[in-house]
Amino acid sequence: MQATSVKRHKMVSYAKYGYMFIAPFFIAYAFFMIYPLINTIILSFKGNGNFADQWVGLQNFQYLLFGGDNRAANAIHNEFMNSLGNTLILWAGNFVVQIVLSLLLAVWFSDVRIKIKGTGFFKVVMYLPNIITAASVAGMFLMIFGNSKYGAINSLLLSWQSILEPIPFINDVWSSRILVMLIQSWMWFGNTMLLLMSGIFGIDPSIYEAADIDGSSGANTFFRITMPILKPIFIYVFITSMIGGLQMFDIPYLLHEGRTIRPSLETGAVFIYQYFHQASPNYGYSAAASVILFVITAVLGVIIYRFNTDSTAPVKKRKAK
Amino acid sequence: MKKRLLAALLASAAVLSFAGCSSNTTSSSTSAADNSSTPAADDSSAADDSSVADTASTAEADSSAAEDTTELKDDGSTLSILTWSGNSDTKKMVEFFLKSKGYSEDKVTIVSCGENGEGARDGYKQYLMGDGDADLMIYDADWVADYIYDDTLTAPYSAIGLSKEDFPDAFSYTLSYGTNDAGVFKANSFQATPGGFVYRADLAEQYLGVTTPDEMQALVSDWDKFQETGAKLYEASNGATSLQATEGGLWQVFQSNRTQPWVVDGKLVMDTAEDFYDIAKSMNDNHSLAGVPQWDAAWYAAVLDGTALGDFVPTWGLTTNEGSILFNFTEGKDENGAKMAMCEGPTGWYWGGSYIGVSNKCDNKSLAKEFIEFFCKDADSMAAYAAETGDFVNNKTVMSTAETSNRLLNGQNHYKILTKVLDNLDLEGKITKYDSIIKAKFNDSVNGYLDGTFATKEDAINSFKDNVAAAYPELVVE
Amino acid sequence: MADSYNNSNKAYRRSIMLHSTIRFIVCLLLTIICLLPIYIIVINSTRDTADIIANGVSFLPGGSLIDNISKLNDPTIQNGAYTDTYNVLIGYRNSLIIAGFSTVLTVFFSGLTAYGLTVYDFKLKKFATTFILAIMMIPTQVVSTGFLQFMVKIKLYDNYLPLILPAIAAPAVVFFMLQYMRSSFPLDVVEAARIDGCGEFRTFLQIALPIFKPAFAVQAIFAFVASWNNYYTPSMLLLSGKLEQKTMPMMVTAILSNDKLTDFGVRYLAITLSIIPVVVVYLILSKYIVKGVTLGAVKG
Repeated sequence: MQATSVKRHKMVSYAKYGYMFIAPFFIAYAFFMIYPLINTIILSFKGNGNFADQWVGLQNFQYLLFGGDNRAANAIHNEFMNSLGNTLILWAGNFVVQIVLSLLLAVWFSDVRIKIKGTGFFKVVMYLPNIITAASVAGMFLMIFGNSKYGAINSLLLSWQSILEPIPFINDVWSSRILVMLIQSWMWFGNTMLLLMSGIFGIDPSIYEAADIDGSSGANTFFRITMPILKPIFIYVFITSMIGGLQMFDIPYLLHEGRTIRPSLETGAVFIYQYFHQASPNYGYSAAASVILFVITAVLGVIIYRFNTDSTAPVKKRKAK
Repeated sequence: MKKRLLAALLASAAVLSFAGCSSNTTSSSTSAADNSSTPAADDSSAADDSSVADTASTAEADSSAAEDTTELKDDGSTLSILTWSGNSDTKKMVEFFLKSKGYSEDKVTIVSCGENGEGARDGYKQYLMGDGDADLMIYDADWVADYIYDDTLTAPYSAIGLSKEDFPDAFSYTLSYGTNDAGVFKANSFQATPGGFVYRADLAEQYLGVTTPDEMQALVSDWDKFQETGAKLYEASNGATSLQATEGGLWQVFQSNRTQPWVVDGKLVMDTAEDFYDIAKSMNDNHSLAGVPQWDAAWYAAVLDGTALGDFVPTWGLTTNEGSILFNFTEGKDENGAKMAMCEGPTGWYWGGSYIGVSNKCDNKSLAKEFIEFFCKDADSMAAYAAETGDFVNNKTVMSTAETSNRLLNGQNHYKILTKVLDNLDLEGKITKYDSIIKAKFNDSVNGYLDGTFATKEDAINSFKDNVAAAYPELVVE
Repeated sequence: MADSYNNSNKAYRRSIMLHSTIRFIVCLLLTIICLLPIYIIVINSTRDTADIIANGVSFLPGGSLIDNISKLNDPTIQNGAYTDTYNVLIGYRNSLIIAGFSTVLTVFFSGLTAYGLTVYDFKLKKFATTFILAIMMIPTQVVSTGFLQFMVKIKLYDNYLPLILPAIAAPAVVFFMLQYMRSSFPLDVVEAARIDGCGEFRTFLQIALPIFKPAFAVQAIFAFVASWNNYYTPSMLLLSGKLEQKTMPMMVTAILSNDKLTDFGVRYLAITLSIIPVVVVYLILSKYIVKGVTLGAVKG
């Protein structure tokens, strides 16, 4: 009933307002971003280093994805594949921790039956790690997990005599990856939790009260009421953290002692950045890699979006009287 | 209440922003005069499709022509020197120049692009895209080549009336450094940067029984002895002290052993580099390396608390200025300095240094020339600058007679040792524009070999070669 | 009957108490983990270098805060190395201008765009939505150089406009607002407003905006923090690198990446000072999140 009445009104032609409302976004985007975008795509078909002016067709893509018959091609291929693998590992590790933790907390904080003391305080505090610049975060964790005996943890363990040699937390392949996952989760779980909570707060509390009176169990309330209403926001969180994960840059880029980026932490975004900003830039590889990364992200994003939105027509909130 | 505070913040931000904008326009209008002299400046470092081609091809083809044709103006109001904010040398030099010449302060302007040397590498190119004034540029030794090979950014010394013959007393390696492979001389250094092995004399006496720098030198005069001494020291100190703090310092010295440049006829040449994997590995395995990273609190702490006996330190790290390497090794305290000493080490070597180049936009050529002559040619002013700052100026005659007593090296005259180190250094024809990246990749692979990222030396070398091939598509890497 | 009811009620209450306590402890642990590193930074800004190097992490403040502050403001140290790279007031001013305006633009225009895409039906609606979703996924690392070149071409470097205006088009924020409106915006409110003769834009401003407050607050915080912490774009676009124009992160990075400024206490102080304003703005906005002010917008 309601849907049809909305339609009738729209037929009076409110369409022009739609265009007006979205126009500033598209104008600003076109003005600032079209040139860089086209530039990137053009560069992905051009050569590298001294050959930057030559058109090379799909060669950059071929080298990155399949390697080739020379050392440079295979080196680039291996490095790029390694970076994609790292991206996947680091993202998965951080995403699972982050989403579980923040969903759990968001639900706890919005639970009307089991109240937690100091909820307001907790909610506020848990976002705080996100406001420190990545450079400071990395610097701090390097101080704590330093490879040598001067790292805080190593010096503690050495003084307790639990270890004889300092543990190379930063240089070891897996401990460095786990560290990055933990730092990323630490930085972002509060952010994710706030997003989820802002969705939950859109839910009328009278629904929960009603559920409570009806004797609905916690799990039941969560799956029957919270999740369906939270679904659009949850999809948002899923997609954006997937994008954020696939483009993970700061912490993997900064977490190293000395001047070398750890090969075990080189993500796709770090790869792109490196080849774009090294002293003799190889724009072709870099641009092609970003096109590939974009395609991967876009395909995954669209699948998740399509898969989830069919059933998610705008939820009408029940009016409480 | 809080809402009102936020509103007030935003409102005051709005007011301030107008203030910011207007001061911005005045500053850009003062420099607008240079506008005309910057043809196609925005194409310089760009990823733009045509510009990269232009840069590359002009660098190859027109470099000899540029020497004759570059015409620079001489009507600029102030000498603008590009540098980076962490480069305290530039500030000191400008102050000293103005004071000695009796010039007023507005004669020279310092423009800081980026925070450190690495930031300035890109920073200058970005700055030059705009219409800011630029006459001279300070380059870090690591990336002199980026600029002297690029004729769209820099002018040769001949454009301001200087040639190599004007610097007969310069240490010859600095002149090779400032010349590109078309033979155009484009930059010279005001300093030479040899270095020595700085060590804890008190611990050396305790564990090795040496009492003078000469005795210490005898223990580290070549790489075999250096390693032997490392093993002996570790044993004598019961595992408390390693000979060398960092792999990076070791490598800076070792690379001066090369007999050939890194790239010959477009091909990567390993030369003596492969040996370094073995030396670094065996030193690492017998604990002659403390394995702390350079430029880190741990580095300084290691020498300070005796975890490492010492490290290789070049001239600019040997000053008594706050923040120098030696300063950090000793916390700047005389009582710690009294425990330090320095000897030459296994080979002649240098590390880094700053060079002065001329911008294509230079519109103050006579003052630019005066500045360069003051710091690179004129023996009197160079001697005075050395005396004032303790820097090691680029003049053989001045440095062979200079006296100093370094309070953080127990009063040693480190100039004496450093001139000896330079005598053993010959870089003629060994410098290429690929060096800084190749060196960095090499160092990466050695570190990877030491920390176990690569299981074997072959893996490490392979990865090094892969990285060079990926970085420079034009090079042949076997 | 009554007895068993009482018993089960008691058990129920006990289980609630137990759950509540467990949850409290978990939250407390997480809070400590969240605050600890920040606490360490702040504590370190009151210690001196020797103490930090020798003793590593400490939980008690040192006595060097005043000393560190005066070092940071001392123009005689290393020829003014600190005062030439770091000036907290200028940094606050510049970062506030950029972050403040960017935040307002991002939140307002993203809300407007999402509202347009939710409330109205038009031919290009689906395309526009997909487009926004797609551009969100473009890796930022590469686009930035083309952006710089373009800004140089149109002479917009050394200027705050290219740091502020692009905030109008924030695809991720639009996407969030879209999803948010899908879950909790009652379209019938628009209907009602139209019947009352309320103009479309006014409906957005006066009726829709209040409903979106929690979403706006969340996104405003995120946008502000992101803009405040953005080092990369400002350092790229402010070509001449004048102290007058530098943002807070540019100043902090200038100190942290300066090999010669090795005084750790001062370094941590520089970081601490850069965090303070963000914390303040966050605490101001967090009120909206904590209380969940949306409720009642529809009722009232």
